[in-house]
Amino acid sequence: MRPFVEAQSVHRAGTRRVICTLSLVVLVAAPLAGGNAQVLTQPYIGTLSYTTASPAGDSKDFANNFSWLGFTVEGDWFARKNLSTGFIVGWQEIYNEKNGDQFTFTNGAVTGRTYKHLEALPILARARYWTGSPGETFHAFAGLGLGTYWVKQTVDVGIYTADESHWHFGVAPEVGLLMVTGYGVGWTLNARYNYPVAAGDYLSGTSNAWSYWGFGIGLTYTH
Amino acid sequence: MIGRSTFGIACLAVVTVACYPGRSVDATSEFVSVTTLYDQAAPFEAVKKYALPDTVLYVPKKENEEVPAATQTAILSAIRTNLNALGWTEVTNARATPVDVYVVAAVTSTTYVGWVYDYWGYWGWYPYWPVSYGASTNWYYPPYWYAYSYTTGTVVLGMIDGRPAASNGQRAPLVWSAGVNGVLDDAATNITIATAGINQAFQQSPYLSAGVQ
Repeated sequence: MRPFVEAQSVHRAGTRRVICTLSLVVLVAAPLAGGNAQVLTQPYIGTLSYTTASPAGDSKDFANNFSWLGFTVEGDWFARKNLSTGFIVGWQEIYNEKNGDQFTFTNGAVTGRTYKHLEALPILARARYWTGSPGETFHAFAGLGLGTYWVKQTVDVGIYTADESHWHFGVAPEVGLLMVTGYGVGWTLNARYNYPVAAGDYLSGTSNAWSYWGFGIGLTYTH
Repeated sequence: MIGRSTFGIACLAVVTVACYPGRSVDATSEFVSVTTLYDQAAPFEAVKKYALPDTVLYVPKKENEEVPAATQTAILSAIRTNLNALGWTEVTNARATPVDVYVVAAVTSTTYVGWVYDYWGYWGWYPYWPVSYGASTNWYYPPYWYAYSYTTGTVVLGMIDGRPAASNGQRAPLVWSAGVNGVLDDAATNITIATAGINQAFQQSPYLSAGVQ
């Protein structure tokens, strides 16, 4: 444990803002590059999503609080008309703050205001099956992502902080709906179960599977 | 407790909120933590009499400086109230009347110095950048890093087994300890935090009255 201001984490705020700014630039510029292409007939479809998350499993036990802070950048290339392969890169933060939280151990206890924080960075390859035909407005899809998650667990108690981070193998099944609004641009809604397989030696002294349900709304374009 | 570092506390809050989304730090008391440790073999249920020295010391010792009298009084009073609530009896002359445990208290403090990154200042500076950059002699680097400091204080409580058999001719064993740790503020706030923390230390140590289960 160490005072959290010594964690040198202040750089993260600036970095996070730069990332957000760049993401907004992509959000605005990307659809313009899409022209009037149609879904399922063009080789590439890209989506920038704002994501929320509901913690599950170990994540729920650790910080049971709905997350409103996350995003993903996703791209898919169509191998066939209804089948695409692609990638997911994202960021999700799950956190919970509580007064008077207490940790007990074999010969004592510590009590204080706690702040529990999970940061998850999924980097996944995925495949999606799409319904419908070119020219239709709605396309439902189901997909499965496989890849890695980097997860950082942080616990603050009073002025002290402790953190631990590890890489996990992970899977992410999903379902969703794409609504094409014209000019090759559309909106995507999806629900994805993120399951980083248990790994690491986290602050509790055990390995953890920091799973969460992700719910995203994204702007999609084809190119 | 001693000292005051309002700017440091403000910066600490800024750093906290900047690095941790959703975290709200509204008062110094929110930085407080109470830690207790105990000897699992200690027979707390057999303790009947205790001695409490009348002084709270600085650790390490400070030359020509003592813990303020009001702070000492508040800390000792909180300890005494909690010990009496356990059903234990205070002995004022431990040389004349043997006691089961001695309870001692001390105060320690540490000052931290750090830097805070004011990204709002960065965005405020940015729109003027092209102008200054164009006139290269007027170019300046944005002052969005600020130094700050804050001081933490800890009230340390110790309980020493005073029975001759316990020491067995060696150093008397420490059977319970507690630390109330937080960021220092004004004297009145420090006392409030310290006494609340002492109460919490006893509350999270039920084995002191019931014995180790």
